[in-house]
This record gives sequence, structure tokens and C-alpha cells, in this order.
Amino acid sequence: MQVRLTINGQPHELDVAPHRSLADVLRTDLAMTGTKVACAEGTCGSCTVLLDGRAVLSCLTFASACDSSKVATVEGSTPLLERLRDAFTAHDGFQCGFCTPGQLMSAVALLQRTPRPSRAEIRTAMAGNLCRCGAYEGIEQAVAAAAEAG
Amino acid sequence: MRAFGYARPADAGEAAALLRAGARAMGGGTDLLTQLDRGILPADEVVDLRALGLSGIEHDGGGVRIGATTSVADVERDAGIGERFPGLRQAAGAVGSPQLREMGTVGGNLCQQVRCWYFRHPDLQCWLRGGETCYAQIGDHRKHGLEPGDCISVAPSDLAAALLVLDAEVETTGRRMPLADLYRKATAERRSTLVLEPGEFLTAVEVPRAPDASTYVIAGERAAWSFALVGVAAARFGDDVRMAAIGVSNLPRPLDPDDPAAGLPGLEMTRWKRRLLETLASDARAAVGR
Ligand SMILES: Cc1cc2nc3c(=O)[nH]c(=O)nc-3n(C[C@H](O)[C@H](O)[C@H](O)COP(=O)(O)OP(=O)(O)OC[C@H]3O[C@@H](n4cnc5c(N)ncnc54)[C@H](O)[C@@H]3O)c2cc1C
Ligand code: SF4
Ligand code: FES
Ligand code: FES
Repeated sequence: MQVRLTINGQPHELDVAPHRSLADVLRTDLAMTGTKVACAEGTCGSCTVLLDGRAVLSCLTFASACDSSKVATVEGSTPLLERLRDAFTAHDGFQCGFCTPGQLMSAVALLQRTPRPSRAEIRTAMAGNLCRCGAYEGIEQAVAAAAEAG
Repeated sequence: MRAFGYARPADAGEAAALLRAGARAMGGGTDLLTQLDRGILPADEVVDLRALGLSGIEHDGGGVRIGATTSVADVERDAGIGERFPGLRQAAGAVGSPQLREMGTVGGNLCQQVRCWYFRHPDLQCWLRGGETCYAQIGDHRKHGLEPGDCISVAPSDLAAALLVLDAEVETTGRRMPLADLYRKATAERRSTLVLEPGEFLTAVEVPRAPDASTYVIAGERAAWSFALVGVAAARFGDDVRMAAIGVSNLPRPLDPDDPAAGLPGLEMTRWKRRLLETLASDARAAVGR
């Protein structure tokens, strides 16, 4: 199937088999390996990307269902994403870093919709991203700091 | 992923024809995809219902109409639902995780399959999947239901409980019915808990009027991600209190507010859930003010 996607502002035209996941197409066909796949069944959040502004799990999203959509991944660079990156570094928002691309994209979705979230709103919005290293304290602080810096 | 075809028709008649030919309806795919991938569902084509123009929330008079492909997150964020149907908003906010709520649709949530771990196992064909044996009853059924029967798995949909107490109706491609009638126990001849016919799918859910108070309370293993072990919805219209639960029966189950565990004796490994049900039911009842 022919699929047109705008990924981080760049247009792409791809020929993909209908059953393939967006995560797989990003990582394999486009060599955009920033998006991580851990569980591949919707239970961890590491594959989170933005699809037309909504944080979604790319492991459970068909690439073919995304025709004409805008995708944002951790490879992008926007002022908000850069601010979050700096804040995650400054506040120890990670240890191994495997969950970080997904954490960042969930944080982007949150701050786009709610630029000044409360701590409770941060925790609710970030609840769909597991961190095996348990960097949750740092993640919450980083998101709060990025919001304040915005 | 296992290979299968994908269609995204813009016309409901075309969608119905594909479904009658053996394709599977898809909303957000959050429940469907892992079933297809594991071969639990034999379908080799999916029909994405999201281009049919069935998304959106309309408030009219006292009621609300929610299109079948509206995302669960849009229900959670809708100001009118938050104000007039707080129990429904709480139920939407209880589904999975933020990403699953963005992806998951209302129709898919109401029609999702049971989560029984034997049912979801690629190598087992349990009774509900058309086989001979309910493995849960001879094996581990700690999180299963309180009602004895051929299948002891539980209804998982948070929205179903919240909508049931609001007297919601569902609209399908061919008919309208009370939400309660969408579900029925699977039988030896028909191993499904939904009454939908081949080619038929949900197009909308309607709640006729707002209650005076409503709530939805759950207990899960974690605050996020986990399915409700038990979820209880309550709504009060004047002096009339309605209650329903998920996590206790194959179907979203109406409860007697004065005796919520009636008819739900529990099985050897699930009796502990009765206590949970009674506690949640009393919390829910207190929250709606009776
Ligand atoms: C990790 C995880 C946690 C979850 N936690 C919860 C939870 O806590 N609570 C909860 O309720 N759910 C939970 N879910 C289940 C699921 O994500 C949600 O129920 C979601 O709303 C399903 O919607 P969907 O559009 O993605 O369904 P889909 O996967 O697209 O469809 C589900 C089923 O419904 C059918 N279907 C879809 N749309 C229609 C329609 N319009 N008419 C008729 N049939 C239709 C499909 O054929 C399929 O059989 C969870 C899922 C995962 C993976
Ligand atoms: S409880 Fe139902 S779904 Fe689970 S093994 Fe028994 S028949 Fe299958
Ligand atoms: S890899 Fe997608 S949710 Fe875990
Ligand atoms: S930093 Fe290691 S999993 Fe989160």
C-alpha cells in the first residue's frame, strides 16, 4: 500500500504491507531507531510517538492507517522537545535511557495541550510510560521544569 | 505481525459487505491487533471504521450521543460529559493508559474480547474459543468471575458499566437496542458474548438523560494500565439508584443496590472478590448520595 506520511516535518512516501506496524516501518524502512519497541503489545509505552498531535503506541498502530498523517518522533527537533531533553538531562530523568524516547513524546503531548500542568496532571499523563530503571521522580521533575521554562 | 489486509472504507455499506465476507471490524485496534497477531482470531482482513464519519460527541436536550469511533480520550476530555455524566468521565479515565485512551474507541471498548489468559494463549483453544474445555476452571482463575457457568471470564469494559447505569442505548448499522441487550452469555452453539450479526457494527451510543449523580469506582493491581479487578458504576435519578459492575461476570452486570453480591457466589479462587465488590458498591452508593 502507498502511504504518505509527514514525519517530523519531512514528507515521506512509502510502500508498506498492510499489516505492518508504524514502529516497524519507522525503525526498519526509515532507520529511525529512536522509537523503541519493548513489549510490542501495548503494555509499556516505550514506542510512543505523536500521531496528529496525539500520543499513541506505534507498536499497535498500522502504518497503513496513518496515510496523510503527521508523525512526530524523538528524532525531531522542536523548541518544546529540546527544552524537555535539557530538563531530562538536568533532572536525571533516565538511567539506561531505553524508555526515554517514549517518555519525551508523552511529555510533548501533555505540554502541547496543557502548558502549565499540575504535578497530579503530570503523573496522570505520564502513567502510560513504564521505566524499568525507576527514574520516575526525575521524570516528573523534568516535565515540571520544562513546563516552567516554557 | 502476522500478515493480513487492511481496508479503510468511507462508506458504511462497503464496510458491512467486507465484514460479511469475513473481515474484522477495527476501531483503534488496541484489543484486536494482538488477537490477530497471535492467531486467536482467524480473520485475515481488518476493516478500519474510522473513516466512516462516526466520531464525535453531541449534547442535545438532556442527553448525549457518542459516535462509535470517538476516542476514549475525547470522552474523558469532553466538558459536557465531565459536568453532567461524571461517572462516564471517570470510567473513560480508568481505561488502560493515556496512549490507549487516545487510540481506543468507544465501540471497540464496548465490544472488546475477554482478557482471560487461557483465551489469549496462542496454543490453547478454550471453550469460549470453540473448544471443549474451560481451562480456567481446572486451572488458575484468581481474577475470574463470581458466577459459575461454562465460561468464567469477566467483562472488561469500564465504559460498559458506566453506560449501563445511565440506561444507554446502542445504535448499530441495523437496529437500536438497550446497551444491556448487546451482551448475552455465550452458548454451546454461539461462543460470543455479543449479539451482533455478521456485518453488523456499532455506530453510536446514546444516553437519554443526565442523572442527578453518578460515579465509577475501581480496584486494580496498579492505578494505571491494569484492568479493573472489579469496577462498580452507580447513578441516581431522583430516589432511584442504579448500579452495575464489571470484573464479576461474563457480561457487564446490573447489581441490586441493596444486595450487590446477590447471585454472585464466587468460585474457589475468586471468592475474595465478593468483599471487593461489596466495598466498592458501598463506596459508589455513598458517592451518589444514597
Ligand atoms: C495494556 C492494555 C490495557 C488495557 N486496559 C483497559 C482497561 O483498563 N479498561 C478497558 O475497558 N479496556 C482496556 N484495554 C482494552 C482496549 O484498549 C480498550 O478497551 C479500547 O477502548 C478498545 O478500543 P479499540 O477501538 O482499540 O478496539 P479494537 O481493538 O479496534 O476492537 C476491539 C473489538 O471490538 C470490535 N469492534 C471495534 N469497533 C467496533 C464497532 N464499532 N462495532 C462492533 N465491533 C467493534 C473489534 O472487531 C474487536 O473485536 C486495554 C488494552 C491493553 C492493550
Ligand atoms: S474462562 Fe472462558 S475464556 Fe477463560 S478458559 Fe474458560 S472458557 Fe476460555
Ligand atoms: S512497545 Fe509499544 S507499548 Fe510496549
Ligand atoms: S531509564 Fe531505563 S527504562 Fe527508563
